[in-house]
Amino acid sequence: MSRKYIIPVALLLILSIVLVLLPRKQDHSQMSPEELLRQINSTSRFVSTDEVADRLIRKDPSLALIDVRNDKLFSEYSLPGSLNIPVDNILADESQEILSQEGLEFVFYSTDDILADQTWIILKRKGLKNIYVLKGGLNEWFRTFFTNPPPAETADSEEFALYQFRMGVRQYFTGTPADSPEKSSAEKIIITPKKKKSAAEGGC
Amino acid sequence: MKELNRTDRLTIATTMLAIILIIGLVTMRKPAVEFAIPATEVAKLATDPSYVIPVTILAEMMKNNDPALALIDVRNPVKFRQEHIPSALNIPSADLLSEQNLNLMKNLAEEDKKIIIYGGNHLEANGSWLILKQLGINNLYILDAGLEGYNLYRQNLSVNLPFEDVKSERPAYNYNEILNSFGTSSSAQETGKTEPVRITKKAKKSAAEGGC
Amino acid sequence: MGPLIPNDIIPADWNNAIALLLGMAFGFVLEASGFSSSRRIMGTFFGYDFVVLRVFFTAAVTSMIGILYLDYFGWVDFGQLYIHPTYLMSAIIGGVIMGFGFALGGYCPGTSYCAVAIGKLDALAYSIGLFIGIYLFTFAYPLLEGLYNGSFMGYVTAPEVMGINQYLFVFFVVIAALGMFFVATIVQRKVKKVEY
Repeated sequence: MSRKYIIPVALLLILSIVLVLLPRKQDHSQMSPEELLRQINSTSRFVSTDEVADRLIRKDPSLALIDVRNDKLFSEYSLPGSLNIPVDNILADESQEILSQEGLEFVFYSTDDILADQTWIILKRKGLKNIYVLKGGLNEWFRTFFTNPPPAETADSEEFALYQFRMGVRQYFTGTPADSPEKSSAEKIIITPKKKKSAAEGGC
Repeated sequence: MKELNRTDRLTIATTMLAIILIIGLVTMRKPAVEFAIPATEVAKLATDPSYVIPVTILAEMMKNNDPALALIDVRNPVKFRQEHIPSALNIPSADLLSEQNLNLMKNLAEEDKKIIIYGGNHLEANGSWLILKQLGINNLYILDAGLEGYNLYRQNLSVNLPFEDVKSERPAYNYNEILNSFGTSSSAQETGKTEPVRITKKAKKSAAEGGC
Repeated sequence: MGPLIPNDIIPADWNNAIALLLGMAFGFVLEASGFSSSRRIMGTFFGYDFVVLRVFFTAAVTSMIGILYLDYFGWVDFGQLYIHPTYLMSAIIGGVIMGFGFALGGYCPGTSYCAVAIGKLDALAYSIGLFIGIYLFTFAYPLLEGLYNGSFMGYVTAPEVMGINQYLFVFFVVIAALGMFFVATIVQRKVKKVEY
């Protein structure tokens, strides 16, 4: 071998040996704390109850509701069509397989939004995309659709429209148009699809 | 002459490779902050309610002038100036991970202070709390219901009303009871069920084939 | 373009422009290494010129080491890189056919275009034959489909399949490549020089 090759050969050898001896790096599969904090401070992860109800009614195939409470609470009551993955189980392989599917938008909910938000943070750290949090959780769900008072007489038309929409949602999910005591005009209620908010639209 | 040129080229290529790697080594910086707790552990933190400090306990500590108390407000400085809980320190959540603030918190934790962080409502400080917890800062607690809860407590106190701590993640209603009042049982809800999530294997996108 | 375009770091419109630039650079390197000469390529088989072996293994070893170092320095995210899926059976059979074509024709697809560019007639015939082959393959596809899609192993890398450390694997490849260079030099010295 001619002498001119000695240096390159030595360089390659040294580099590959150093590569083997390098101290192992932290695993790549997670976000840096700074990036995670940036994501946390942006509120785009929250989806309103109105939007989720609207998408449920339109049978949006990309919506996947995930209940992060424990299975006892899940069996007592859960939102229609939702899947139960308790937080303790969220990083298990089978859960990860479900959550890494493309083309779905996963909306987490819990009793209010603390637990769902924490789940979101854990998964975001692991680099998951297309995950959202139901703002207010089940408490907000019932507040908006089941215990909401009608708007005042003086309220503007937008508020009335929203109320109408919510009554429609209530009717859809209870499935009993005439039974409810305070709604004699239940049949007339038409569910008008609300404009989709951009919050859950993103994703690459 | 030709042979010499070849050698030169080889030397140049080798030197360039070496220079690139040296630049890489020099520009490589250790990340300033790193997670101290693996993600699997964090899931356990999330379900542990002992980190939540109810407003009444905070009020008790404030009344006793508890020296261990370190209150931190993570809202932005404008909101902090408008109103905040007395004795609170303002560390906006955007600057949470700056070296100075992190050192401050670490010192507080080492002094065995009880660091209680709060935001405007029950949710606002949640992210800040969990991220600091993941960085391995001990003695870190979160104020239940945030400033909202504190203000409610003060209001009730001023008119001598009893105050009940709002616990996060506690159902505000009995869901099935409400549904029943509308004439449905939870099982009747099945009619509204949508398709459950379909599980498919993840497949990477195909890219153009390469070749020589 | 690897991780950059699917992740929207470079807009997809740049795809073709980047492909053109990379193609030009690749063609330049091929021509500069003398790969447009079928005799030089054939040298690997007859033992009088091992430049093909040297160039390709140097490129492979350099880029392997380079990517791992850049990954270590945090310039490139290794996890984001595209890994070509492995179809073991079709890779073996295709490799054998390609090897025969290589030895018979004296070109591989890339170098044949390089040689067309400098006006070699045999290379022109070779690339026309290439297109006829592709055309025939499309007709035979229903027959070959099982083979084409068979024994799919997924998006795996060799160290993953063998279950060894990726850095150690690179080290062995480097040793193997250097050993090959050494053997090639000895063989070349023993074989009679061919003028071309």
